[in-house]
Amino acid sequence: MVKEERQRYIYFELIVENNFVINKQLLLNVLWASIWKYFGMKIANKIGLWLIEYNPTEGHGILRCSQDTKDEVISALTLIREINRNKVIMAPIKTSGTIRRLKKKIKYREMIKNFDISKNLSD
Amino acid sequence: MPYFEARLPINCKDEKDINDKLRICEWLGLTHVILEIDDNSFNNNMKEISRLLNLINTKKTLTLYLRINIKPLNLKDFKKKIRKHEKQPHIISIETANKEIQIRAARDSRVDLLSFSDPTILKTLDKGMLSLTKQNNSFIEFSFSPLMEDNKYLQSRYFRNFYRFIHLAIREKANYIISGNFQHPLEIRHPKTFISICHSLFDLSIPQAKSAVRTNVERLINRRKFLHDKNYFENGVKLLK
Repeated sequence: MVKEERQRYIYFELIVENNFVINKQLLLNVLWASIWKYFGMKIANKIGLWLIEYNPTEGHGILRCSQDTKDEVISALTLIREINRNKVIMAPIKTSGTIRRLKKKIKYREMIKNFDISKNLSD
Repeated sequence: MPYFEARLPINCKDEKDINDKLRICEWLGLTHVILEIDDNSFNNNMKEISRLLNLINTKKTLTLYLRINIKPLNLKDFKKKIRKHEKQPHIISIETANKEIQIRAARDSRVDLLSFSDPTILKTLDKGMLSLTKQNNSFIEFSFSPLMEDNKYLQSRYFRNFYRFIHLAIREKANYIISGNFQHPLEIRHPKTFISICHSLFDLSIPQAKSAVRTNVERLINRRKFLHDKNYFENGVKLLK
C-alpha cells in the first residue's frame, strides 16, 4: 500500500511597496513563477502547493505543501523580490504539520505582539 | 540560540532609513542585528555615531551591535586605518579585492572578519586565505544580497560562485558566516530563510547552514568582546574572580 504523503502548513505575511494589493491569483502566479525559476519541473511536480487561506488587505495567508519540499517553498517565497515593479517582502513566519497547531502558534504570536505594544504604550 | 543578521548597512546621517530598517527587522521577528558603518562615515560623523550608540542602548526588542567596515586602498592605508580602530569595542571587517591586503588582514588578530560579499571580491577567495583565517580564529563572510539580482545572467553567475566558494569553505573547515547585506528596507529577509535557501539551492546540510547564521556569528561577537576583556587570555582560558 502506498503511504500517504505528509503535509506542511506555512503561515506567511507580506509587505508591499505603495500599498499595492495583491490578489489571490496574482500571488499564486508569482509564487509558481519563482518555483519554476529556481527549482524547475523536477521539484514543481512534488510540491502539491495549495493556498488554504489568504487575506489580501491584511497581507497574510496559509500555504500547504508536501513535507519534503517545505524548504523549496520557503526559498521561493523569500526570493520573490518584486510584484508589478513594487518591492515586496514575503516572510514565512511559522511552519507546522497540522493547521490546528499552526493557528495556535499564530494566536500565540499575535498575543505576544499585542502584549509588547500595550507594555510600550504604558511606558 | 537567536538568529543574527550579520550585516545591515546604514547611513548614519539618514535617521529615517535607520528607523525603517529597524522597523522591518522587528516586523520580521529578528532579535539580533549587526549594524554596519563605513569606516569613513565612522570617522567623520562622531555626533551621529554617539546618537546611534544611544539608540542601541535604548532599543528593547532588538539587540544591536556595531561593525566598522574598512575598505583600504593599499597596504599603508590598511595599517593606518586598523591602528585607528584597534581599540574600538565594535567588530572590524575588511573588504578588499587586493590580495596583499587580504593576506595581511587574515594574519592580523585585530581583524575579526574578512568580507567576501561583493561578487568581484568573492572570486579572489582561495584555500590559502581560508587556512590563514582559520589559524587566526577570524571569520569570512558571504552575503545574500547579490542573489536577489534582477539581471538573470549576473544572478546565475553569482549562484555558481556562491556554491563553489561556500563548499570550499566547508571543505577547508573555515569559520564562515552568511549575512544579508541588503541596502533597501524592503529587501531585508529573515536569516532563518537563508537556511532553507542554503539547504535547497546550495546543497548545504541544515546544521551547516544554521551554524552560518547562528553559532558562528555569536562566536564572532564574543571574539571581539573577549579581545577587550582583560580577564580573558585565550580561547577557553578566562580568569574568574
